[in-house]
Amino acid sequence: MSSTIDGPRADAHDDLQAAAREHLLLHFTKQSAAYAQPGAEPGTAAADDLLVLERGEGAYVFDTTGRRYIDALSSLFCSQLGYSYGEEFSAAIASQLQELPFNTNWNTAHPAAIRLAEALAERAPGDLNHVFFTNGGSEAVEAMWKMAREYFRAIGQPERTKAIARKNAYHGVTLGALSFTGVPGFKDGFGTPPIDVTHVGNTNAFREQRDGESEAAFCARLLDEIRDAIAAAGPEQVAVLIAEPVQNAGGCLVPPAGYWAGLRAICDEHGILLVADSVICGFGRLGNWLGIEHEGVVPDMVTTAKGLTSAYVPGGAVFVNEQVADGLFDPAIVLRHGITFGGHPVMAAVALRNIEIFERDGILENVRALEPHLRAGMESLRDLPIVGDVRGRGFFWAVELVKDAEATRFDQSERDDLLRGFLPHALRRAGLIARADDRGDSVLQIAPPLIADAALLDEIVAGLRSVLTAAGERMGLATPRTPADPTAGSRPGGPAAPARLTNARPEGRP
Amino acid sequence: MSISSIASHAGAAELRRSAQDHLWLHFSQMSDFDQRPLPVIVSGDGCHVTDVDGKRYLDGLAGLFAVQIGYGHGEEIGAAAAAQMRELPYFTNWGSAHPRAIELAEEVASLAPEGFERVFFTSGGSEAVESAWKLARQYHALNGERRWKAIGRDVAYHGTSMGALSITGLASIRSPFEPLVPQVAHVRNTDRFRRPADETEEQFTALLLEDMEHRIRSEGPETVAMVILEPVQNSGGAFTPPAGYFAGVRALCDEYGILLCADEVITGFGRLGDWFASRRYDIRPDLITCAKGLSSAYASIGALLVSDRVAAPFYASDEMFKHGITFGGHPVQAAIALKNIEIMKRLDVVGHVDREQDAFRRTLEPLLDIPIVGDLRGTGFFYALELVKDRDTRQGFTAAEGKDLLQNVLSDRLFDAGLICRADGRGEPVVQVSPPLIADQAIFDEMAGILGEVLTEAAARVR
Repeated sequence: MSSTIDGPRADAHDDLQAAAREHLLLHFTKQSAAYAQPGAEPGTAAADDLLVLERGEGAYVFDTTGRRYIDALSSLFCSQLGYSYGEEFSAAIASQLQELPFNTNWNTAHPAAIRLAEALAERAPGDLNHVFFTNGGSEAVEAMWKMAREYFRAIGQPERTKAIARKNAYHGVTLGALSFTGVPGFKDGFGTPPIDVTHVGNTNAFREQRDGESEAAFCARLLDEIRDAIAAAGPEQVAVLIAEPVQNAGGCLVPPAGYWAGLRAICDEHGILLVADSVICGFGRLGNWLGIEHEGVVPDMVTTAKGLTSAYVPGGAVFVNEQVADGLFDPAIVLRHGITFGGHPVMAAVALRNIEIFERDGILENVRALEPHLRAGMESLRDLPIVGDVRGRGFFWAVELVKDAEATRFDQSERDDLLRGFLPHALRRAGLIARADDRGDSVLQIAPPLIADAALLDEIVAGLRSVLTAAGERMGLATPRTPADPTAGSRPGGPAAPARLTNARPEGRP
Repeated sequence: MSISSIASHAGAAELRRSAQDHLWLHFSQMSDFDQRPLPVIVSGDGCHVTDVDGKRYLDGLAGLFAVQIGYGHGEEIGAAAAAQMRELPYFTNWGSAHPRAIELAEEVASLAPEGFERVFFTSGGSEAVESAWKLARQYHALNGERRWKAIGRDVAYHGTSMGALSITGLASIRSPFEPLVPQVAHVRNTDRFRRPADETEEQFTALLLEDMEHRIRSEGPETVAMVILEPVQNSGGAFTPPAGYFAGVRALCDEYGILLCADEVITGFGRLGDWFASRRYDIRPDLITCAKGLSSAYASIGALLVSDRVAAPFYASDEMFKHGITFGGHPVQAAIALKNIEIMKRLDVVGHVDREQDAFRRTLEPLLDIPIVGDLRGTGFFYALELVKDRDTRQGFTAAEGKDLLQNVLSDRLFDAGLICRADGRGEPVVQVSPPLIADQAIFDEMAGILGEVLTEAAARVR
């Protein structure tokens, strides 16, 4: 190790690069491309080494060369509080680790898990009074499914073995959760899914809302598609309808007004359980606890993870309403599901402190107060020719990237260049962590830590502007739109623009 | 009062009521706690835990085969966690990394059998098994083969998420959730208790391998991605392998181009007196899953170890392993696991198990004199007692009798007597013991004493 503490620790940096390459399998990453390529020209994307982060502070993280980045993605939508609450959380876990470092939730319990379940139930909407703990989001979705299956067996409807989910939605990667996931590239190669899931249209109004179609009509059309899917599957065979309140994959797909009320009505009509997957939307991302309260609808189950602990330790939870609990608290029923580490005492201690910090420091209030400011900032990017759409809610936003004013999509080679070559490199040079993604259409996403103030949000938007301007130039879209351009959207501080283009698009999604 | 002051000394009754109202327990009959008080564990020290009423228990199960170093290292582990939380409380392993995950990967690779340099982190055992299967499928695809099936063993437990559950061989926890992932086949496990008395160990091994080969061939060898086995199978009660078994399994996998995964979620990190049981039994797997003992359960972390041969195409090609878990390789969990390994090395926990395993067995052996104890099997700090109606004929209990014995007699009585262990009826009825790896002769004696007392009582009752 280097003897200098403050300066760049070049040898530690090099050692870590070598050790990572030799020993650490990265997640969802091309291992060979993750490191600086031998002989690459300095300053190019190929010369980028693996980003190894060693320190965090507020909304910033620092790599092993001492370089600072704004974490505008909250490290995959998790770090609600940013990185400076370590002292407080470590105090919370110190006493737990000394008292009881581990106990399962299998036929026994411990005070931390009990207190956490109680605190969560108190804050959950409606009668979502029961909580089952997991280690994360995929496990929460798996647990939800198995509880739904057991519930329907308990009430004499064992034939409900199917589910409805949405296209391009991400619900996890274990093979049950992956059945709900609707991202083809993540499913290919992993065989026949165990769960019979029908994937229906998502709520990308920018691409899917037809010319002249009102929001209400668009909503009705989406709901009709779901009714048709249920009818085709056999209404008495469908157990669950799962959707994110704002869908992440595809880029912050906000539902049209009335959509969730419609889902609730459809599920009630057919006796289907409505599940909100709030792994991303929960715990403040949209300015409320479970990411669904603003829709005025109470789902039967809600899956959560990430922000539950602000990622200071892993944790996940399934919220279950009284109706489902009643079915499963029958004396003849044992829920045949369990996870050794579920409800870990250290997780519970962190999650309890997380709730306390949220309330003490006004985290939900901060998101609600600054949402209009962030919205205006994001909308201001519409004058860039590469920006086709701006959408989101709370501290969860995406811009959809297009080739021209007709919203033409980039082709595969352009997307490879833009999303996997140019943007990651340019964002890194700009000191900004954000997500360039094309699991649906091409988008650039942000989800800042919920502690961000207006100045930091402005800095993020300014960073996006510079990177997207350069991206537009690279893709040959050098001419900025004039304010008169009908596709330009609103100006900074102006009213929110409609979430879709108003001019004709020659072709819709196939 | 702050909501996070957990030790608010609310009464036991209030805690139990709150648990009943809000906390969904795992693998539990929730209505059961209307009848009997829910055990609420509040503290731990060494090999013991204490409940909310002040009653002490010997944890003869190490918190589900996990708490290798016992409950007394919270202060030291807390300091390691605190330092990491101040520096970098969280970042992913998606396209980026951080020093602790890298260091832990290096450390785990250094403890692993030869030829394992690459580590993929998860949040626990089920996720490690899911990761193994997905990696195996993608590995074959990168080699131009479409192989997707898995072969597991009867009664084996490999996890509860839908992929891991499909590999699990326990009908009772599979059937409610079928259909599962199609095309998993289950072969005979190494339970030898009721094999014919005149069958030699070699003959038994041959029978098992013949069964496995038959299954592989009937599935179509070119469709099988992976064979997954625990070195010593937990469920059913500590089934140890007969001589020659793993050499034979390795040879079958080689012959048919199938990857061999050793599920070491329970056996890894010292339980059998080696860091990995794969080394002890010379299994030579291609993949190893682990969790539990990696952090002594002080953190929720698991790992998939990938052999160099299997990792190679993922590094050579432009492909990525299309799989990821947000919390995989979490820096605080990695810091805790590193500290756990440091403590295990400092205390020579693995050497301790290796040296004391014979004493542990000797302490348990007198239990075989109790009329309902038909078999004692296991190794390391990992044993099971199989309960029978007639020791001479090895006749088992009927399902109803076994259930009554386990649920209505043994579970409650052992717990009342101050011993946490597992009275399990997923296969034949067994009582399992798997203490923290720091257990010494005094702990063995305490455990055997309670088991002897309660099993003798149960034997009298059954008769």
